[in-house]
Amino acid sequence: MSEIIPQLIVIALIISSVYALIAAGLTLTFGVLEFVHFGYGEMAMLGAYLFYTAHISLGLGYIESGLISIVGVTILGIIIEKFTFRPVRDRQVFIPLVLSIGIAIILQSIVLIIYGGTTKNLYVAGDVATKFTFFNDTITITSIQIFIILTAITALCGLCIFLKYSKTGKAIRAVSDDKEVAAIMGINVDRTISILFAIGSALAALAGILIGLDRNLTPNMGMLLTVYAFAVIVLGGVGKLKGAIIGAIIIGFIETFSLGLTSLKASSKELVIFGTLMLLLIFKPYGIFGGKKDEIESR
Amino acid sequence: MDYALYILIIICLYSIITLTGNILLGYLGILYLAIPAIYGIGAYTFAILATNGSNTFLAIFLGGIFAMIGGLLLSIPALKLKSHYIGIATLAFLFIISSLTYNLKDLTRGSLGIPGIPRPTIFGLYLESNLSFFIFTLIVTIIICTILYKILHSPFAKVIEAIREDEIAVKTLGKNTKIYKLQAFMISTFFSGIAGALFASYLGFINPQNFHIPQLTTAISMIIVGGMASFWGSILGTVILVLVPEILRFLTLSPDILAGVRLGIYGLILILFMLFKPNGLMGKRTNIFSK
Repeated sequence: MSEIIPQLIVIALIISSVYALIAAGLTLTFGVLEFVHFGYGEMAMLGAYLFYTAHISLGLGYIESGLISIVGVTILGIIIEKFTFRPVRDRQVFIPLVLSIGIAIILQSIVLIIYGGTTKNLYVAGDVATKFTFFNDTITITSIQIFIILTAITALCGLCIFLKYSKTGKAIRAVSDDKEVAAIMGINVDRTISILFAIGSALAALAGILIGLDRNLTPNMGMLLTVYAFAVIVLGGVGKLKGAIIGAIIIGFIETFSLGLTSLKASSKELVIFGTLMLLLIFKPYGIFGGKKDEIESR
Repeated sequence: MDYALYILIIICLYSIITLTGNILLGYLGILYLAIPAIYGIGAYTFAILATNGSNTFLAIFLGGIFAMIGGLLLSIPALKLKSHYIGIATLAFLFIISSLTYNLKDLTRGSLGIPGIPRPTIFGLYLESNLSFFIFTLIVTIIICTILYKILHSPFAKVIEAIREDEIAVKTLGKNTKIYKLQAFMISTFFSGIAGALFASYLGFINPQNFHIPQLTTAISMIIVGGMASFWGSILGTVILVLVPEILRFLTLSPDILAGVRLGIYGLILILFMLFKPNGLMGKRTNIFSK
């Protein structure tokens, strides 16, 4: 049993890095818009399917396909924000919430119409990944997995630096703290939220591609991803990038180890993750590090 | 004829599901996204009991009871949380139930589903024809809708709606709001479970895919179109949204495209209603999902 632990840690880290990426985008949008964007996971799904079209159907390389997918989803994200969320931003809370459910459904239906309900995967026939082994064969890692983890970490670091030091990043944080005060200080709130949606959509698309490289694509993966991402955010505490990363590592490890070390089947994965989420929501709704109660309740 | 009966039976059963969903979504005003999970519990309870030779009436009743137990479990996180957190908790509940129906193979046969679910027998009369089943469903629907109408026009519903608008104000009037919310959960999930049991009985075959996101979007769209916290709105919404996608049936599309178009119609309806008529056709302005 103990000899598979190093391998499990590697797998858990790969999954965690992808979860962190998707949760980072959701936690940013949640921080600013103050509602769960249920269509967020669907953006990731769309990213994965666009990548599939470019890479498998059109035969383009990884980088071109990735760019097409990310740019496409980003443009779509900006359009969605401009024409659906912006008009209802200051209305009652349920309106944007149900709206985002509607967007999720439409995106899912588009994918279902174009690609059908069958499972797709991103490997071209004969496209075998190089395997690397370490420490007397206790750890095997493929080149694709190395690519996944490096891309995710690079993107997250880039996001952190952007939010912390760039002018737009500071504007995003200001709007996330208080829209009205930010507007008084001369920040263009509409433009900032547009940029935020662009960044969120790009992150979602990237996460979707990475998940697609690791697993299969199905039209209903988006809704699951939204709830996974939310589980991650709740775990780490809402609205903070650091929380998303820590939450992702915890969920990744719980998922990998509960399935790797016990006799649970892979199909029980959802049961493990959502069971954990449920217990968390019951006993620690403000994240495992406590978090301030008012901070969340004022949302 | 069978086609018309199919439409009528679906309208009857979905009316119950929409109404019970509206109790929690509209009247109580919480983001309740576990609708298919709850009636799925009713359907699976009925299917498992009835295929093992239990009395069908008892099985229908137990379908309601088990759905209510599921609802009580769900109410533990749902009553503790606020706003979107309830949405996520109920959605997680939906995925948990779905995962259980896939994985408890000894009980539910997993993705194979349960075939050969019998229809009810009344006084030795087996309701084999669709007409007799429709009459039976209609009677049950009218009874349940009458009960719900009485409940939703009673002082109880006024308290529930007051809790939605301002819970603290209701508390200062000396009402135990938690008990009221719990009762709303029990009423909603019990009748929802009965509708689920009848669904299983009518279809004769169920699998986990009958109780997932597409069914959730259908139910939510019906509630939104009809209007939040509106009894007749729920029924109107159900009738409209059962009939509109039926037009697609006359186009010859492949099953995947048909499912996609159907889903897309519901999504489009949700978006358009939220942008232009957020309170639905017959709903009133409410303060929902805000707490």
